Amino acid sequence: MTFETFLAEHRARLTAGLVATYGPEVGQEAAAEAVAYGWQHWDRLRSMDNPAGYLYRVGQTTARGQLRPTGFLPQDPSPGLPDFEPGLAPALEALSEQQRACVVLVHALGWSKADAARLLDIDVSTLRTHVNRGLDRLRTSLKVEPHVQ
Amino acid sequence: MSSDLLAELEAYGATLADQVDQPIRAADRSLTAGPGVVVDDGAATGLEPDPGVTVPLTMEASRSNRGLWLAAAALLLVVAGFGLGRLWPAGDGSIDSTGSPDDRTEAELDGTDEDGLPPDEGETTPVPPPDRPSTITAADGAVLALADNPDTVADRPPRADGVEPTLEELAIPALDDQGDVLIRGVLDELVRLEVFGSETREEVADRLLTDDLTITTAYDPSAQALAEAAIAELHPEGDRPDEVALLTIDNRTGAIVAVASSSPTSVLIDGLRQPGSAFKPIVLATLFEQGYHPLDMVSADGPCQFAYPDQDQLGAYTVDGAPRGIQSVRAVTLSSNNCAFVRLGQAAGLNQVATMAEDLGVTTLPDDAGQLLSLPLGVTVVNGAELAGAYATFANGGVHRTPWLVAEVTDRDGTVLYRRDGPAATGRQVLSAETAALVAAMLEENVVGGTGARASLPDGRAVAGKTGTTSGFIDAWFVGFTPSYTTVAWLGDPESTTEPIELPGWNSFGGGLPTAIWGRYNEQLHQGIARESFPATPDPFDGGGRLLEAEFEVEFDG
Repeated sequence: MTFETFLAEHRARLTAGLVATYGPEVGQEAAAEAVAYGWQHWDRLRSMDNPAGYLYRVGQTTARGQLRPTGFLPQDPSPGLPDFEPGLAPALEALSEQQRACVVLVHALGWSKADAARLLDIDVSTLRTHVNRGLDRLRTSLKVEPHVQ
Repeated sequence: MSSDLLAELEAYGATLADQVDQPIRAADRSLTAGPGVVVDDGAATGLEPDPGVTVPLTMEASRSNRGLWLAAAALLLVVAGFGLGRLWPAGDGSIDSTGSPDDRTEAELDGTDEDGLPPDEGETTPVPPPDRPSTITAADGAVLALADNPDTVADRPPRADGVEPTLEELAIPALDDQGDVLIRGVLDELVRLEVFGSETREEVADRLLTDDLTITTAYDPSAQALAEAAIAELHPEGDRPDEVALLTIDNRTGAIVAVASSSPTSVLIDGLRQPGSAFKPIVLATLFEQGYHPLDMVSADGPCQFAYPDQDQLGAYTVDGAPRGIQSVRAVTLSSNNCAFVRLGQAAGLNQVATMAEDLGVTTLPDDAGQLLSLPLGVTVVNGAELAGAYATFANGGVHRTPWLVAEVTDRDGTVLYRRDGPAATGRQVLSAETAALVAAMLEENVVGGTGARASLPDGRAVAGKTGTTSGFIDAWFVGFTPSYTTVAWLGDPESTTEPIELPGWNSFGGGLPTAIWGRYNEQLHQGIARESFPATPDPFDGGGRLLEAEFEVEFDG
């Protein structure tokens, strides 16, 4: 597979994972660096089982190099988008990286648990744990009662 | 499940997706490359990337992207790789990701979070950071600096004429405030050595960007990558105030071969922190140089109190402790006993301890250090690189060299503006080889059986070192060396000297995280390097037995 083909299929999800974890600004930059790294090292990566997962971690290393991400609150959203709870962005920021990545990928960006787990290179049961604990912590921060179905 | 929270998250996701040019929501994705998928990294021609080609790092459309590239800048920082006798191939920067969860050390399995469950660390294998090219231009440093801190760019008021600022205009403040750790270290050294006279850091940074200079450094990108990988692997994730940093010196030359930090900057290069117990080996060096012996004895009882004759009891210096009887210098080193070391400092003479510290390259002692009863406990601030340089002196038989990054500076015509040679390169014998060997032996034992146990390396090679923790868990150090390299590891909050470190899953004593990171890094660093022992010491059991006493000890009146 050429790197271009790989990118066509995986670039969006790689960006999604890093944006989910680090916010739109840092996440996109980290994704760009990961893409550049992938381009440089495609020879080695192409034979891996999960190169997208590897590049996600490369992006993480880049993103972590920043002391304080500029935040998870997107700037200047377009008009016409639904409003969301203002406390949500700081509450997401307070989660651990893994919890945030899992919660945002699954519940904000609508990914299947299988796809999210694959990108983050963890198994689905671990992902489920992170999602549940992340949601619990968000509820506590936002003082939301669980709605029993 | 709360339907309100899920609806909020969905709305959040819509706003995120609006900010990102990739289709990041599952509902928006297409699985085939369509016209909406932008591949702008040079691979659009469909050709396979050539591994030999240097790839410009492109930054995606974000506020920090103003056409910043790794320019073919006029300035080159050439990496010379000054490691003598190093057997492993340099420059690749990659490490074997062979670690599996089962291989994790006990240190990493320590601790649970507040729910009683294992901490949220991923089970993934460690990943090296993107390779640094082996030729680093100042423009690279500027781009790295700007990528680390896009706020520097964003906060700039727009120019009245609407013209985009140049790379130089953006880079110089960025280099000065948030520059890559290496670039900052180089700048600091050039200023300190007055290579360009009395020019300030900003003026030197400006010169680097505009003149056609070649700067040869001792920086080793593969060591650097290993250091960064160890930090990334073991330092907890997330937005946190603490920094963990590593700095490595080649013992034979005094060269700084790597500086890595979990922050964009590092306290180790230009900060000053209290070393705590990491100062104690300097007391040992003073004692042994005077002819004292590891089996000389000293009281390890505590609590203890000390006062100068003209001081009243209110001014007495008190140190906590427990009744532990009379022990050998060796034993109190292994337990890092504070009362014992305050006594030892006086037995050696505090003026002599201060002089020894200065001989070992510590330049930050206050003028009254020779009167400071607390000096042996590391209350005076030190620079991390200097501390590493002191320990490197124990490692190499007693020759001190000021730690350095810059080997040579030449201009466009090849005229040498600066070259490191002469006495600075040769170093100065500040301890006898026997003293150095004795200190190394004490600290080697400290790794085997003392507080430095997490630093022992799996291949069993000789490792020596000392932990240091400042009271209130403000700083945690591990300074350790093999015959080849000395590395200092530091953990703390670079912006606070009052807030204790808090790490879920780790205790913050110096024996914890810094030591574990030191061990992980040095395990990789020494692959391919022949195992060496420290020089033999005189028979450790031949001698000793004298009781060392503290001149200024007074009755503890609790």
